[in-house]
Amino acid sequence: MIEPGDDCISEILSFLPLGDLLLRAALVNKNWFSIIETQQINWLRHIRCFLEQTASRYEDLVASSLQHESELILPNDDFHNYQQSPKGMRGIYKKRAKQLRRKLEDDEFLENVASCQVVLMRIMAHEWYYLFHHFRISFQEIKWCLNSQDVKEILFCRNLNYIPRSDMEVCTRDFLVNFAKLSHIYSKGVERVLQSENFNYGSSFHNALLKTVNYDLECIEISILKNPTLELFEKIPITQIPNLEDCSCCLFREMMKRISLRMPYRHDLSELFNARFDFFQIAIEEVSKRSPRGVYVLLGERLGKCERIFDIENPQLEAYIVRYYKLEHIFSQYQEYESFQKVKPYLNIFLQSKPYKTYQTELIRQIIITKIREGAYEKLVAMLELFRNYRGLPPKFKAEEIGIHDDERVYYSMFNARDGGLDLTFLEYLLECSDYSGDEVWNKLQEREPSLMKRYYARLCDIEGFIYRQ
Amino acid sequence: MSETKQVELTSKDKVSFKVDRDVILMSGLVKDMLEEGDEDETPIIPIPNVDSKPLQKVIEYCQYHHKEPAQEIEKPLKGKIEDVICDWDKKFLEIDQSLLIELIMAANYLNIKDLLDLTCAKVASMIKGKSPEQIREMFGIENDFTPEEEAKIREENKWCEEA
Repeated sequence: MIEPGDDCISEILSFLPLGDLLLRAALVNKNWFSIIETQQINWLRHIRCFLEQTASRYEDLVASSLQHESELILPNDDFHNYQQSPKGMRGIYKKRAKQLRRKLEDDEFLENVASCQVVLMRIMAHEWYYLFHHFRISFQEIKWCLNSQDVKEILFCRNLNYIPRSDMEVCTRDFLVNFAKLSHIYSKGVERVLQSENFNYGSSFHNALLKTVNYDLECIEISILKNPTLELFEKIPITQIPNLEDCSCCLFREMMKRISLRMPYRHDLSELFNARFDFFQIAIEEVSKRSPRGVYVLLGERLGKCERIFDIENPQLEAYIVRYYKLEHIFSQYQEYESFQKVKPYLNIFLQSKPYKTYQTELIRQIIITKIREGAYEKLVAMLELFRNYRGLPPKFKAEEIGIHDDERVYYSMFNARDGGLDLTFLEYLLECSDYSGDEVWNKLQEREPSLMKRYYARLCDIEGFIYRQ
Repeated sequence: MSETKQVELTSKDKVSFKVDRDVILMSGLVKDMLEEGDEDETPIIPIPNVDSKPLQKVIEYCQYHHKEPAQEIEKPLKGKIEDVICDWDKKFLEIDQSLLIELIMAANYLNIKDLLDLTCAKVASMIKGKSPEQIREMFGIENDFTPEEEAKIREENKWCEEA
């Protein structure tokens, strides 16, 4: 018998149902397989038919399962929906099935229902994969397919575990982006994917997800504005989205509003805020409306590297900074003396704030000790000055805490004064506030810097503890 | 009474068929060719790709359906083709398999969509439910897949089976 040409084979195959097409015809020979793969064979008709069948089967199954149910009482609201809308009814079916499954786990019939659902959902996910990836069908072509709420529900009831690992990247990108454009349920889609086992496949998938997000910021915007479920932002490091900086302040405000209670705990936003300082102000404002703890986290734990934090000219923000920003960060951030000067006003307010006095004192004491040990002389001196300005003597410490017996850095600190000479402020502090002996200091100084001792002798004599040496 | 305009079709094996112009206008190919020619003469149109036997069946189809338009056949086929076509078409398709394939190719060449759909649907109906081996045998096709390739396709499409 003559074999028809490719275009005729294609026409013939277009009449075959899905099973015949993929399980039999595709296996005839390479040519047939290629025709099925590349020519799409009215794939949309199959899909449409298939969706109709599966949707009705799904409903039948769940509806049947309801007949077994007698002990559960339908809540009033649900009952109202049941009467009012078919969609609501389907929602109830799903809910009922879930409840029943939980309650009647031993019921064989229900187990069957559940496994049928699993199969159906798997097919759905795979179908989209085929549509978008395998058959390169454009989204516009199948738009009509997605108009049904049933399809959406079914599609998102299952994860995408069945999709082959190697193709996950392309599939996910096309799948999510395209679907998001129509259904505005982008984040929900991502959420499902993230919950799937495939999410653990590694960085390539993760990157694909990021690219997906990057691909269409509009999707995010739509999603944020329409969908209160923002699990997406809890799982995807949004600061890695390259064009997030391009999004509007309005959008960012909305994002912060929606996720202000969760987001600060999960993301280091300093990079973004360094680029978009207006975002930072928005973030603080929005988060502060809902969660003081959130502000604390945002300021303290997550913004350690936000260089412009002290450029804020906003009284409310200033109050938050004073209240929540950790003193450690102030000192850890600013290595230069000039920068330290910039923080001084905040530090001043911080040090005077009543609820934190005990904490501050210990904190400052620790910082001073650290600075001495590190030989961070200038910062230390500036801090001592500041401390003296409002409280008198800085906190005391013990000699061993700064390692004075086994580390000579403390002496170097003393000789690194601004004029190149000995810093008496520091020396004085050392003697006043530590249990370090004046004798030890004197001997050490004389041993190391005898000329300096002569030069400063008169002034040293004024310092308590050195007087007896005169 | 004015005489009906005719067209003369010459098959690959040099057999001529005189057909009413209105009838053969169902063929997209002939229609295009007639638009270019002189309307006063009886045009002779060579159909070099189609033998007389299938060409005769084509003409038979057109003669019936140019007045009785065929109903569209839904894709994919949900049952047997006999359930969705008219009695005349059923009888028309009572032909051997090789003529059926020739008819598909003729319909394709002459661009007669309804006939192409009918014949393709018939073949699809014959294929439906058959194993790859049976389909190969039906068309005299050689299997050029390696066992590994075949197994891979089966595995990839397994999801469909599970449905």
